[in-house]
Amino acid sequence: MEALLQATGFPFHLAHLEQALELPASILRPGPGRSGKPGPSYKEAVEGFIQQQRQEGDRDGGTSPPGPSTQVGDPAAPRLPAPARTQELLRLFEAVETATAREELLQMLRTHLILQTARTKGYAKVMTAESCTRVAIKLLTNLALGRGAFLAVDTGFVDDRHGDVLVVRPMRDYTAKEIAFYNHFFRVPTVIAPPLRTKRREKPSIHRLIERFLLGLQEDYPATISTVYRTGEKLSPAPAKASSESERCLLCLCALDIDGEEELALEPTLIMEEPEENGCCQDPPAAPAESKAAFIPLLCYGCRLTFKELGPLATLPPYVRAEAQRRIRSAETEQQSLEVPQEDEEPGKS
Amino acid sequence: MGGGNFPMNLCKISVLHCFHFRGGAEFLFDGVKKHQVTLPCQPEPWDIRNLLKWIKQNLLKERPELFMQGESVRPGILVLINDADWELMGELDYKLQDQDNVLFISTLHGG
Repeated sequence: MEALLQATGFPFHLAHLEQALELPASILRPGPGRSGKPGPSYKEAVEGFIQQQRQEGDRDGGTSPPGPSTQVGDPAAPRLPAPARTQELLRLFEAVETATAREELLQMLRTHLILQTARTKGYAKVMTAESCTRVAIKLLTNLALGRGAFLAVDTGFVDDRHGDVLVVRPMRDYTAKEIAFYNHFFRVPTVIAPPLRTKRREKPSIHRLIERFLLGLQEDYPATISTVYRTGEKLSPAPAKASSESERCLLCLCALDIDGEEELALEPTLIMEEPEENGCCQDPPAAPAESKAAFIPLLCYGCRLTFKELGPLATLPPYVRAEAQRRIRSAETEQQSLEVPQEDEEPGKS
Repeated sequence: MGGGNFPMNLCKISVLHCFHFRGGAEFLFDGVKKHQVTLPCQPEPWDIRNLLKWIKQNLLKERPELFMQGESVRPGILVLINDADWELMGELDYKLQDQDNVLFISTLHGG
């Protein structure tokens, strides 16, 4: 993998998934939006880059490909993670109850890790490589996962939920078939990332089911994938009204889409799981901060469903727990500060 | 080449198979990406349909359902015959010629 990256001539950074366990809690907060003063225009930036390449080409005599001297490799990267970290990561994944939640967890950790790398290395944009096929599958999968409110950010071209780092999907116009043919004809080296292993007797995840469904349908009705994709294209993200972190989901950073919790079918099941907590039926801040129920108000509907299937709190990455506790505490103090003035006003009103 | 009077040595077809997988399915074939095979003489014509049957019997080491579905390949696996999409060549009905190159590319995430 490293050799392949080096051959491209671009700066690259390698990160191990175990590093996701060491992320700071700040990764779950949207970063500051881009500053008001505009940076150099895109056209100027591209021209500057081309000039730079030309100069380097002239210096080398124009024949040699960019060598290691022009690359910014990550000096600390190839070091393997500590075995304890790997064990922790394995425990995290083993504790998850369903294959669907496992896939969602993996995606979440990867996203946060990429985001952290982008932030620390100073990248303003991240490009991910979802093909048209993958986008169509993701569209239907996310609908099934209860993330219908966020289809536009999850599958659209631009994903701006993180504030300072913009995620774009430039490959979403090209089907997997087109990309596969291109790679074959132009001898693009490919790397296979092995998928998550499913245990025997375990039902396949929703992701696998939808993939099988769509690809199967595509065989007989070749317009399937493109129709799903085009329909998804019509979705546009809602104007950003959730700016403060208390209005965003803890895990996916999308705007919280729940107003009244009493409507949720989820609440009764949580109460049944933890019968010893008295405060469960009422305001969540009454539940102890270390119980799973306390996390629920911080999550959007889709993430709540996933969260319910994750293992016990102790297995979750520290940054998730830290940020959740911080938000719970600040919600509690906000609640208390709201209550105080009312007590002062009551004597006058009665 | 048509007509009934062709020499016996054309009965054997050497087919170069390159199984190139994105998605980890080369584990189904012992991790071997390239297979060069000579198909034995048989009265039935060697079309892709029969080739797949032959692959299932002779090359697939485990979990055939990850590669095949019914008598065709699983949806999501592309088939190229001599660098052309098999849909242009007749898919399962394409009659194999000597020295043909058949390539399977998986675009799936695996099992």
